[in-house]
Amino acid sequence: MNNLIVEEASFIDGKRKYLICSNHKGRQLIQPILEKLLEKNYSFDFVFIGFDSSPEQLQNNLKTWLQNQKMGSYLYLALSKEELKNLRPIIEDVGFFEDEVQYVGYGEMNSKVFCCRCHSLTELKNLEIGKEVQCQNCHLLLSVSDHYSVHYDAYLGNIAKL
Amino acid sequence: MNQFNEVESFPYPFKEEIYRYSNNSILLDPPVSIEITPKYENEIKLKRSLLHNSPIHCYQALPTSFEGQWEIVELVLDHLTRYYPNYFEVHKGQEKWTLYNKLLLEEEQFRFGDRSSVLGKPLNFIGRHVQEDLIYMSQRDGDLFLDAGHLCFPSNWSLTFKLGMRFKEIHQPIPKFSEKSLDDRILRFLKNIEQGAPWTRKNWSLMAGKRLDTSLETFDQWGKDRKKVTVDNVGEFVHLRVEVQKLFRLATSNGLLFTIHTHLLPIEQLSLKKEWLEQFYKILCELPDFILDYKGISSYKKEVITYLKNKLDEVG
Repeated sequence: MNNLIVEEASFIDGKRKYLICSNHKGRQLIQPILEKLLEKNYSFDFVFIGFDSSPEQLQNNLKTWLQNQKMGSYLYLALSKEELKNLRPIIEDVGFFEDEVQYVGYGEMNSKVFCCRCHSLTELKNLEIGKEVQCQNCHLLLSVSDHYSVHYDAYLGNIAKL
Repeated sequence: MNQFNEVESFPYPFKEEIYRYSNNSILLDPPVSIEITPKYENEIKLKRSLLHNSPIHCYQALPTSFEGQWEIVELVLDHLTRYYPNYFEVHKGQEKWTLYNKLLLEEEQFRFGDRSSVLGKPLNFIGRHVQEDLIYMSQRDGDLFLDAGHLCFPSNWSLTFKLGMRFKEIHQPIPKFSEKSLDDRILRFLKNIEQGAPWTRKNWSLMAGKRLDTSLETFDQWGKDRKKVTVDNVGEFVHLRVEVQKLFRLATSNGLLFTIHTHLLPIEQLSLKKEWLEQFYKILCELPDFILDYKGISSYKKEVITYLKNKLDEVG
């Protein structure tokens, strides 16, 4: 998921309609896109997530909203990285492909590293490709690769030193 | 098997003097998934010991793969009995099927298609009788997924980690694989493979040491051998590793069977054939760093090239 999240939104021109969903903090990240849309007078829907929304409400409301959209819409989601990670399966379920969504995130996201030797998962904050981390189970020093498994929601950790 | 025969029967993989990733598949003729070689008994013994000692490295399956796994059992049994009737026989009874492996003097009974039979691991059951590794790729939602595998001789990858991955995710570590949409073109090719028209290709790498079981899980054991390569030991220590891969469409599940038969040849034996020696020397000299790095050759490339150059000078 990390590889899909950007911290700065980029404007994708020429879409039939734009869908924007953010919370208070994400609003700052998406502001340049909103300005661009207004400047170009493009059609868009904006959904603001209030402080009082529970994760379940957020997921259900978002799903209902997206299910009612027509083909050719482009979606911007500007939320915390953890929220984006949890929402991704729903976005895919509804039928949005990777190139129809921009995940714009802030904050930290817990990531997992898969130990190439013992298959244990080691959690770490702020994943960095190439960073060395010790496997929590077999204590092997791992180098975090960019090879990601959806099945484990984890990055492959290769042997750092022979 | 004598040395000459081993060289002659080796599936030398190169046609050009420059190597790049490509879809080098050709139609498989005859359309047989399995090859029994004189190394059969040794390799089966090694496979079974790996399956016993490291079962998680060697077998993985998603629950949805059982239909496809049984289809593979049927296809492989059919090929074994049709192409190697002196070695294998199958009696299909109403309740149970019996497999006779005359090479190993074994007899195994099982209930075909039954979830509780063969310990619930159909790919392992048939994989224990063939030198090939067997991968089941399911096809759905316009993509291919690695849904099950019997893999004893991987070339530095982990079946456990790749389980459930889509085609492009599996190949993500290959540098420049998506350049010029190669990944898209190969995926499209694989999705269009038709039943009854299987394909084959060869993949290659070099390896320091003589080991078939080079799983990612044991890299800390065999990877160190890369540091032991010298100009003096290249000939017998470094091997050309070739995977003969075959692809079959499965009729019922619409998945693919992907078989991998791994062969090793010491560089000194490869050098016995002048045309191979000359060609491989040129390929290695020209090979770009990104392929050398990915194939794990970079640290001892110089030694191998020096050895091949010396051999070329000897033969003139």
